[in-house]
Amino acid sequence: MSNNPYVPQLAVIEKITEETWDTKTFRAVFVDEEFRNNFTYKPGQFQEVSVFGTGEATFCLTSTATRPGYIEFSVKRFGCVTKALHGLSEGATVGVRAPLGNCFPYESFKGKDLWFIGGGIGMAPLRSLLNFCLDNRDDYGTVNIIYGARSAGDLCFKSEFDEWKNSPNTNLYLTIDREEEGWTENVGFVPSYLMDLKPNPEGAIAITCGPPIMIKFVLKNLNELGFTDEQIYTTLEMRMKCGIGKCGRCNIGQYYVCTDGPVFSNAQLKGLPLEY
Amino acid sequence: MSMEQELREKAKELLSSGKVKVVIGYGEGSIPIKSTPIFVKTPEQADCLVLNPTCTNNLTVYLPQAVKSGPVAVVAKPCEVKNIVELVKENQIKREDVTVIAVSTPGILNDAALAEFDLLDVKKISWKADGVAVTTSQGDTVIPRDAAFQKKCLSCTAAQPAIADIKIGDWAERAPLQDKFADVEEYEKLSAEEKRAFWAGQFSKCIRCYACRQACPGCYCNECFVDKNGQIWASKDTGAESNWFFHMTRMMHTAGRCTGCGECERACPMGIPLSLMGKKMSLLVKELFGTQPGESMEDAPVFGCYQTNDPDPCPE
Amino acid sequence: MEAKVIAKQDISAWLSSLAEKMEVLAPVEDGGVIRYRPLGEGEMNLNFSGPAKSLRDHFTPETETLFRYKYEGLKAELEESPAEEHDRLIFGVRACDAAALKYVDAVYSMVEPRDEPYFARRERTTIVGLFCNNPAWSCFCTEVGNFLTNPQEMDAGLTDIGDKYYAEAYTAKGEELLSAAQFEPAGAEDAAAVEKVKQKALSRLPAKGAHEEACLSYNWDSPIFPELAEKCLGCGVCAYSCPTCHCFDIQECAQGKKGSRFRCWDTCQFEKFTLMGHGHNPRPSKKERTRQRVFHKFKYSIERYKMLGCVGCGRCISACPVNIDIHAVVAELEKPAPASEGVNNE
Ligand SMILES: Cc1cc2nc3c(=O)[nH]c(=O)nc-3n(C[C@H](O)[C@H](O)[C@H](O)COP(=O)(O)OP(=O)(O)OC[C@H]3O[C@@H](n4cnc5c(N)ncnc54)[C@H](O)[C@@H]3O)c2cc1C
Ligand code: SF4
Ligand code: SF4
Ligand code: SF4
Ligand code: SF4
Ligand code: SF4
Ligand code: FES
Repeated sequence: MSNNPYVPQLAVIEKITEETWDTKTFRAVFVDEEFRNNFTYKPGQFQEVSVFGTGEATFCLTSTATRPGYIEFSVKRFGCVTKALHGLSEGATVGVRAPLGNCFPYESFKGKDLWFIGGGIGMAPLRSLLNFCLDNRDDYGTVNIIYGARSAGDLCFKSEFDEWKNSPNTNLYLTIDREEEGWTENVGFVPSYLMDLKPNPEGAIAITCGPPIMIKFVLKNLNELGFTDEQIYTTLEMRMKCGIGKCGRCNIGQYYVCTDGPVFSNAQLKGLPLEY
Repeated sequence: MSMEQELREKAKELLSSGKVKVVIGYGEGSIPIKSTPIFVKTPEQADCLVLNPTCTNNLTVYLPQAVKSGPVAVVAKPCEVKNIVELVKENQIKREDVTVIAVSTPGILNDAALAEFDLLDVKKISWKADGVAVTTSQGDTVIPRDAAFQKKCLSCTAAQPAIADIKIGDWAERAPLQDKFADVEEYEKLSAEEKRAFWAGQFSKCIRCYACRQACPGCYCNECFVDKNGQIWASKDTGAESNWFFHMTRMMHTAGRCTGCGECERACPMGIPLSLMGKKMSLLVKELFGTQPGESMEDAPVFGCYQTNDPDPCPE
Repeated sequence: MEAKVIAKQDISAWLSSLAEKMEVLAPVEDGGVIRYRPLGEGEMNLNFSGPAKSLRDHFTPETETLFRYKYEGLKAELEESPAEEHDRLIFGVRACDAAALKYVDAVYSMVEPRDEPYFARRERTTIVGLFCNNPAWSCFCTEVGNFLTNPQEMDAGLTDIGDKYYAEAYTAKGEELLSAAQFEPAGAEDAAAVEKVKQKALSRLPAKGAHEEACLSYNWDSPIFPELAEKCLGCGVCAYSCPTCHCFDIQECAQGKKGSRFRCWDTCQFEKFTLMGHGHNPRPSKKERTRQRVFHKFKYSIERYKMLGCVGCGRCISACPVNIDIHAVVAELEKPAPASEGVNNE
């Protein structure tokens, strides 16, 4: 096997789910059996996915190793590689370099109430941890999911909403930006819905990911609710290429988001220069 | 009054009258063999302006960005005034936003002229009637003009600029010491095969640092074709084909814009003779369109206008 | 090991005999630029002042193919680029450039997995240094590390003492090299000659600085950066001439159903380096980008790798088209803040 860290493993796209008009979730299976059987990862880690002939792009592993045999990634259409991925059909071969980056400190979350606060495609990294916790349900307190998008059509992972809702001690709070016919859940932005729900910070952990503007206000509101910076986690997005701390483009001060991140506590973030 | 003093006075006037927000000129470099671009914003700072044989940068490269925050004055040598003309004609800047301080100097130092000096010991570089004086702890040494000056200066006639708001220096027409196109003539003696081999060798050295492009006032595109990373037009690899494609395309894009200021070649860390390409192109432009970049405000910009009878040959 | 000497006229014979066993690179003048080229390609020049072109492209080429791919229907096949498999000696390496390898080694190995294409070349390369008799105006290696008297990453080092070179070995590999027939034991007068040469060179260079401590109080909002941003052209000259810069891009070269993936140099000085899809750029202007280069070399590198990211070769200084001088910038950043009365600034 290759020791060149830039050479990906081949994987075959087994299933493609259309989440929204611009987002698809891909399920891929490694071609190499030995690699597939030994492959494991932790919630929060990411991967570099190649469409040969177009290039490589960064996506979080949105699946969880508690459901082995395949990996999943959700892709919002942006530029070259994401467009090429959207053009693939089931059975196509892609390249994958994974797992990369750090992970959520899920061991330290044990016994705590968890608040997942996601917006749009930002739910993708949270889903990995969420399903991991649901698969280890007894290790955690209540699991609460606040998930918002511009419209109902922009919500990803709809096929899993029932599973989430029906898990013991688990609450799913959905919200969209504007009223829509047939929508019975909350209407409003994620940060203000969070204020309405008033999570109790005691023994709780908040994990958030979404558009920068949403994150900004969610962090502010969590602080207001009494969450300390050590109780808040988020994952950062930077332009990435190598994913292994070599190519030099994802640094914030002395830290490289691809190896020291992408998961950071708000306490860590506050110690970083504002350059992300 | 020396040219330098005159420049400082004019800059002070422009700034204190509020006519411009900034004067782009030269200041002392980190060592006496260098000067550096400075952006003078108050009359007091105007005393930092210098004018000497080390003032090589083509400051007009800063204009498209600088005019966004208000009217600007810029120090420009005769060849560089031509860049301003083209920038105005191509609608990158408005004529009224730029006060042109045209400076006719005896010539600008070429770095190679200092090869024999201990550069740490050079205290001052100044113009003398017959060349450039280099002051060291041993006293002054005068380098004669033809050894001291850049090639473009040796062929300069200090012709009257097409535009100028303030003129400093000696604008009397002078006989060039060298033929501007002598190296093109040499080059034209090569066969097509030899030419191709010559450039292949040169381009193989290119590391794609884009200093040539960044130093060039004609390369003002917000997004250069090589930088597009959504749709890739040109590969970023430094292979022979890609480098060839980059340089040929850049040359096409600077046709009618390249005034021969020579900054691309000076900026290039790999010693690639880029001016030769520019000069060859300007000869072609003259032959095909009957115009020379920056010589008049009236001629239509080569790139900016289309005529049904435009010639369409395929030059070698 | 005892020091040796080799007569100048024997250098060629020595290198030629080495070239029978491995590739030998030496400094050669090429269109006004001194570069390391295989022996025999151009005339060797061992009298240049300051550094030649950096060794970077010999360890991470400007463009490097990582693998090739081929599609057949939906199936893809990969073919890896073979790892570098030949031994190599680079002769005439400056002390600053040898020290730079130590830094790049750290960058490419600190986090697993290591950069194997780099280390495949690195581990098969022997470095023979050539100390400076005549540092250039822009050199300041002594300020960031005393590489002239305490060389790093050299297997052996030579000093020009007139009609011969004084030679010292620093590794077993180096000792073996200096056991060649062309070398003789150095005498007391040779050692004295070296001392004289070194003192003369050192007299042209600054003293060791205290950047390791000073960097901790660099001012993020220093007014120097907006000033530099105004004149910086945003080219890649500084980074591409730097022996410690190591940033790259990964790109694709497609030709129908097959093609290759390659990496090529890239730099934080380019706007696109950090630009993200939704248009957000963490370093949107030259102010942030010039700060990144200076901070990366002098602050982040100390914090992350416990060593300076600048070896003081001065290339970025002499090559910058607008005379941006990192040495002067750092001196400005390290100027003691004007004492402010009655203010407790921790
Ligand atoms: C740790 C991490 C996790 C991510 N997870 C997901 C995910 O789960 N789902 C998802 O849809 N997206 C995710 N992204 C964003 C995704 O990587 C980019 O949208 C993707 O790289 C764009 O690639 P492209 O080839 O389509 O765009 P390109 O054609 O390369 O470029 C289009 C534009 O996208 C920009 N761009 C290129 N690479 C990146 C990048 N890595 N980040 C941001 N912008 C970039 C370019 O500057 C350009 O302006 C993640 C990014 C990171 C860093
Ligand atoms: S400045 Fe020289 S090396 Fe850099 S891109 Fe231009 S030609 Fe190539
Ligand atoms: S920095 Fe030091 S080692 Fe490097 S070339 Fe200059 S004097 Fe020599
Ligand atoms: S070489 Fe000079 S002008 Fe070019 S990016 Fe570096 S500092 Fe800026
Ligand atoms: S930052 Fe400049 S002086 Fe320092 S090692 Fe790099 S090129 Fe040399
Ligand atoms: S200075 Fe810039 S290009 Fe050089 S190593 Fe640092 S981040 Fe990379
Ligand atoms: S992506 Fe290359 S260093 Fe982080």
